[in-house]
Amino acid sequence: MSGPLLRVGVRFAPSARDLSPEALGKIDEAIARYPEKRSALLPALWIAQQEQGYCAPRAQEQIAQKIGVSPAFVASVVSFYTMYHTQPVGRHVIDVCTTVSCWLRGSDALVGHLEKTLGIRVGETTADGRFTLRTVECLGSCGTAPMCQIGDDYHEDLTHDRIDAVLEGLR
Amino acid sequence: MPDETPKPADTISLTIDGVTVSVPKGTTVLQAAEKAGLDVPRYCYHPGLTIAGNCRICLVDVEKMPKLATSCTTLAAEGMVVRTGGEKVEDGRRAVMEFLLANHPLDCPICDQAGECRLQEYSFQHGSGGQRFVEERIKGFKQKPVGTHIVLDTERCIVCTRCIRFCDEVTGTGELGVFQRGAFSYIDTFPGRGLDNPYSGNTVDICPVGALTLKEFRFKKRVWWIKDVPSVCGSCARGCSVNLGTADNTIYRLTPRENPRVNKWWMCDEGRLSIHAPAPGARLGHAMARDNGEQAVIDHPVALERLAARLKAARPGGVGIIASASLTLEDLWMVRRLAAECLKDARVVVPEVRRGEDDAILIRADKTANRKGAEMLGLPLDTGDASLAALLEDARAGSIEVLLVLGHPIDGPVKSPGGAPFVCAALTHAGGLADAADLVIPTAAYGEFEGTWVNFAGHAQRVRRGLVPTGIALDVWLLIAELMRSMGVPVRFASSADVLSEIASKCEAFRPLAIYGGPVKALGAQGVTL
Amino acid sequence: MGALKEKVLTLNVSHADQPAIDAAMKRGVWSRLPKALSMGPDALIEEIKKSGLRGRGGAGFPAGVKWSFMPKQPVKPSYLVVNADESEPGTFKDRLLMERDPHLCLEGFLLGAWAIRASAVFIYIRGEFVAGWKALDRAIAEARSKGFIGKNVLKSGWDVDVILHRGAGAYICGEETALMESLEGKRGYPRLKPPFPAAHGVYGNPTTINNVETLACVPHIVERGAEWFASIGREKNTGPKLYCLSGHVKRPGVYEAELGVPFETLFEEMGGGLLDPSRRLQAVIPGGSSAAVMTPAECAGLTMDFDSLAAKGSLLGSAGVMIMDDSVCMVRACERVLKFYAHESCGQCTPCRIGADWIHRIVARIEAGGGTPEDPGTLMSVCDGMVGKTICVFADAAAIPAKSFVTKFRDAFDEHIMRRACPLLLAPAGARG
Repeated sequence: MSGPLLRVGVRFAPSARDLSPEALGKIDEAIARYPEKRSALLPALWIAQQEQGYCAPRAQEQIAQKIGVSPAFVASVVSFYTMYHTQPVGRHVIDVCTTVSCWLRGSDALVGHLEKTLGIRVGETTADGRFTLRTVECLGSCGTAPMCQIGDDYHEDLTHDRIDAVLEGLR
Repeated sequence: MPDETPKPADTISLTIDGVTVSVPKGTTVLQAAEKAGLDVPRYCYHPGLTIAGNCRICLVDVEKMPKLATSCTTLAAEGMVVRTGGEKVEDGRRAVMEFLLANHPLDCPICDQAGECRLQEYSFQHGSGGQRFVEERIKGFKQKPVGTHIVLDTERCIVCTRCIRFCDEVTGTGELGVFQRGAFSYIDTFPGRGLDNPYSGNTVDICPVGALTLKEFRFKKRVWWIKDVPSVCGSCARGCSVNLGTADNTIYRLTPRENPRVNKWWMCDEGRLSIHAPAPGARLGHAMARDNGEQAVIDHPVALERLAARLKAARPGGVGIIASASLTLEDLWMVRRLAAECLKDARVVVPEVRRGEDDAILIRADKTANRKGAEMLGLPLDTGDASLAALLEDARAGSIEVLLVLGHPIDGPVKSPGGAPFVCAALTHAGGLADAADLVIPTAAYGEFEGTWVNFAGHAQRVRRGLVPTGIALDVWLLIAELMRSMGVPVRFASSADVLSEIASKCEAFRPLAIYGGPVKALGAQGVTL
Repeated sequence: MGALKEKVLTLNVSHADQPAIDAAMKRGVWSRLPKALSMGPDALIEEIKKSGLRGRGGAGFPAGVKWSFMPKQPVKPSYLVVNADESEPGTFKDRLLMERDPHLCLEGFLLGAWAIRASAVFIYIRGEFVAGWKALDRAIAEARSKGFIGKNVLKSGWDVDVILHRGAGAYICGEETALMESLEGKRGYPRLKPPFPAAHGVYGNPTTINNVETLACVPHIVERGAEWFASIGREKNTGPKLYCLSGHVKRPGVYEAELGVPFETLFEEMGGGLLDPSRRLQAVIPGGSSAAVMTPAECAGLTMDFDSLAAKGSLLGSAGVMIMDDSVCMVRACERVLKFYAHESCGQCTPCRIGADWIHRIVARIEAGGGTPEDPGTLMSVCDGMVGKTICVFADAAAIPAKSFVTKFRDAFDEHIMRRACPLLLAPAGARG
């Protein structure tokens, strides 16, 4: 059976950068929205990722202190959810859906096309730091398959031309 | 005649494998089964931690429930009928065992857990005996140090989360977490941080497999060679119940022994690793005397005679005895008798040894094992080091002629430049005071003596011998008994139990131990609170 | 038969200005809130019970009955949790409602909260649904400004808050107890039951979890009555239903029909039939990938409702209908389904943590040409080892479809094993194409 070696291990890219006072302030606001502050952990991680591009260990420690949990707890939560990055990623992360309905409508070919066009394999980032390519599970857009998510936006009913045009517009 | 005594309102009865058992409300089926004498297999359940219910090996068949139920999460209910065996249950267990072994590495030949591994045990009892998983195994971290004392192997881990729950609930330090998810789940610490709380060694005890191992014990001894001797830790005044893991007349490891009234299921790392602490010098096995400036080995009876002579010759108030607060009740009782019956106005000091603070879990700042016992025997306790310092000063000044040091190695100079006083050191190891003493008598070290300690809360426990003492090293009580005979007092005890019997009959505080059958029987496996 | 006389849930989704509150209110949204407030919570629960509304998240549990589990005199704050984590493969209906008619959804949420005497609504929306999140966020602010959310709602004396919470990428957080764990800032590990959410839910408080579409039905029931709702569909399977058509179908998308619409009506009339008419229908997954796969023969005469599908050994589930024509390698399709479950297993309990990955690897190996004659038997046995032994039904959701593929398309598996390659593809099995 072909395939990469099956190995566990989250790689946390090291960091010494503190979160900005603005980010810390946003985290305080998030905490205030909930009856119990531990619920603000996921929102806090979103805030950290928005500012630093990924959920860096230093930021995790600061969040741990604010939420009142241990740093290991925060790290274990980060590693559970697929949308939190533990390493820096490209400016644009291309998440291509490859679950059943998208697969039926050509997601495999779409992934192959992207790998060829960008010159990288799934999981990698282009040398210029512009794009990271990932495959993900069902994005809830099966009626407009095949499709992908880049940042906040869904790009649906994709053909190879259409995705090329989308990428062209993303600096 | 059926039992018609009314049950307390909050007990319920259920039937497990045909046996009816009554338990308090809130008891789980697994606990009820234990009460009925049935041992349901379990990995993630531990009585000292919250219930996780994730291993799924404790499945049982509850009548009227369509699916097998995990006995650790199911509350016992009135009239419940449970089967812990049978085809349905065995099928379930076989399935769970197969899943656990699918990705599990074939490490048994090099794994410390072998011989006390629940995967091995339950495979033997409930497994299918074959391997249908032919896929490539998921690789994990092997031999990853995660703390000063702990080594992690994530391939062996079955993600029962006992270690995580321990660090969250018992120590409150939360160093561990599960990372990633699904079949790639593994246990680890925050990047760059370690599992370094003062109780980290307990995670090794509770790990049902060899995923967490103790660096100080790795590859040292196969557990089937180890004979566990129930005893007590002597590193602080808590007196955790422990097992001495002995083989080759050595203690290879200390592990906590369950004792609800002292340490529950835990012990601290300092105590656990005290057997690896570097000794100040070589182990003493023979008596030695300093003649003409050099220490030389002498016969034990000769040593006793010399000491007796010096003690007899000393003027009233001229003898100082420093008795370690880690001596046993039996040792200290004999010190009291020696001072009362053979000496006049002897100055007895039981020094204090304190380091750090009491913590909220087990650790006591008092680093002696029997200070409370000394207090209950009426011996004078030093607070800080006031009395000890005064005694040593008087000794150097010449007003103390003979200094008898029992088990308490003193730092710093004891003798004055002129050579006073005559120092007899009854210690376990050379170095420091033993090297400077005029007379050295070897005493039994930890694991070699038998006696009784009382912890800070007044809980008395039996300290048991698991090793054959080196050379002619003696229990201190026996040494003093021989000394007293040399000084003309007819003292004879067949064993330390006899000494304890005398204590129980003569000392009010220890009266509860004077039962028919003897005080050792009274102490039992878990001790008595006095 | 099966088609609705008029649209109900999707009535307003095509209006571009609909997301704004004024436009929504012009079309009647929010007019049901004052009516429900004056009815009172208990009457509202009764009405929902009478309507026969069943949960549209996947389980099909009667909504009114679920609401009746909540305390009538809450000692601690009660909560309504909206499950907007829509992640079941083949499902995209909640997304449509939230993006295009967020005020209808919100109104439904508020009515549900009123019925169970909740003091807060938590909306747990999957992290990927950014457009839906933004639409709801805006709608909540608008509704708050009109006094529909907040203190003393419409002078009823009821205080209620709405908290919009984003997930971060985990299918298992659609399981109601895992959702609560995630909402509490932890890994999405399902909880042991009992206790059930109505007794011990978010922060240990009484909690009800409902799906978006389920709650979107409530304003319509309040406006037009339980009898009207129950007149749509059939007994015990009532009301309008959103169906998600995808795969090899000409017109994939969300279709609103009577609950119990015949498969042919949905697939041929509404969906336009096969994408490539020169092909034949080979397989249908009727209710999201957790439902057993069905053959065309099984779909003949099938009515798409909860009980009919259960009777055929499958599920209506989330109504994610995936169409596969005969160009599909069924072993590959099975592998793709199981890859999803292997990826999404939370890993908390033994049978699923190991089993979900294991069954995927067996099928992947068969698909790539490395299968042996023992494999189908082992696969079925491993699936049986997973079922009924886990903390939640995720393991069943992986194992039952796996078994259905092997049982109903056994030839495809046997051929792969015998030929050591995929018979359908010209290229060797496992290559992209």
